Amino acid sequence: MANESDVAAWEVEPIPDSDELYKRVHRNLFKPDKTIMTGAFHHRSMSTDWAKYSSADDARNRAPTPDDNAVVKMAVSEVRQIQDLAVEHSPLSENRSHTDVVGKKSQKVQVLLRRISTLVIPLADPEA
Amino acid sequence: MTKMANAYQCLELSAAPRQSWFEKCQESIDREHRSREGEASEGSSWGVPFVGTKCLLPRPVPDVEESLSAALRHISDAIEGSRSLLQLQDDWDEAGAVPISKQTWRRATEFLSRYAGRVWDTSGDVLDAPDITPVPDGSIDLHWDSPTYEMLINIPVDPREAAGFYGDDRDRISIEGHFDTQSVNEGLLHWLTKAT
Repeated sequence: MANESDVAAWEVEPIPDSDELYKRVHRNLFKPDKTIMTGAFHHRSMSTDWAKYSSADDARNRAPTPDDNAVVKMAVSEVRQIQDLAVEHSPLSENRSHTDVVGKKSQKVQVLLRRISTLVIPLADPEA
Repeated sequence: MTKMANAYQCLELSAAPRQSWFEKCQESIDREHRSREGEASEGSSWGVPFVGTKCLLPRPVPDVEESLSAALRHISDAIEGSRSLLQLQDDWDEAGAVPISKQTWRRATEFLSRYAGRVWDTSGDVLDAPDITPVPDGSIDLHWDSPTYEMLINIPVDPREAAGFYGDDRDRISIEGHFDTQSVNEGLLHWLTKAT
């Protein structure tokens, strides 16, 4: 989640339902069968990147260790269909795409967020 | 837990009321924890009760006990495999995640043992093994993700905090709520029983 001091001069924009969000998922949040753990969606304010200003690769490369992260995408309309969730553009000085998915992440919400997430960049093979 | 298949019973105890799988599993977990914490382990290993010198030759337990142990071995295997959660270090997700404490892991695995045993005891059904996964806030998720149903139970770090759960049949039937992990939630038990 963005701190006030991080908020840049970027204008906060309304995000259309037709757009998509990218979210990084760390290697330790994958199960052995390579599916994502529900714990990846537990943050009350969940940081994502708005596809209007970020590619999936950009989202991955913003991680401290990109090779340890995968990227999933979520349709904004599907996120908003989940009860009590809001999609709020919250640009940072170094990341205009930064967007928070705000709202309590109950077990139901985590299950539903996981279901609507599609893997777009899988984890890199650690042996490669 | 790995000794479940080596179930034997002393002749002197054969007439005693059958100890439920949950009670045996709980006993096994307790003993293992005591052992790992450096305390002396009392009695004999699980499934081989020690009754002084009166315990003569062991004999195989009745078929029902053997089938019970075999049927629920996947649960004990899942619990054993989840020990790796205790190896996670600070910031294990590169976003500030905290380690999983032994206390939280123990509550999660004891809960799972208790419910698996209760499902067996009440219906004779075998609970599917969940994925036992870490959450960045230090809590633990028990996640059943099958083609016909999904159930998520979160065991929080604070033992005074209620556990949250959600499950559905991937269609119209769902269940959601909170419960005390030290007791048995009949609604959740019923749902898990139906899901098996």
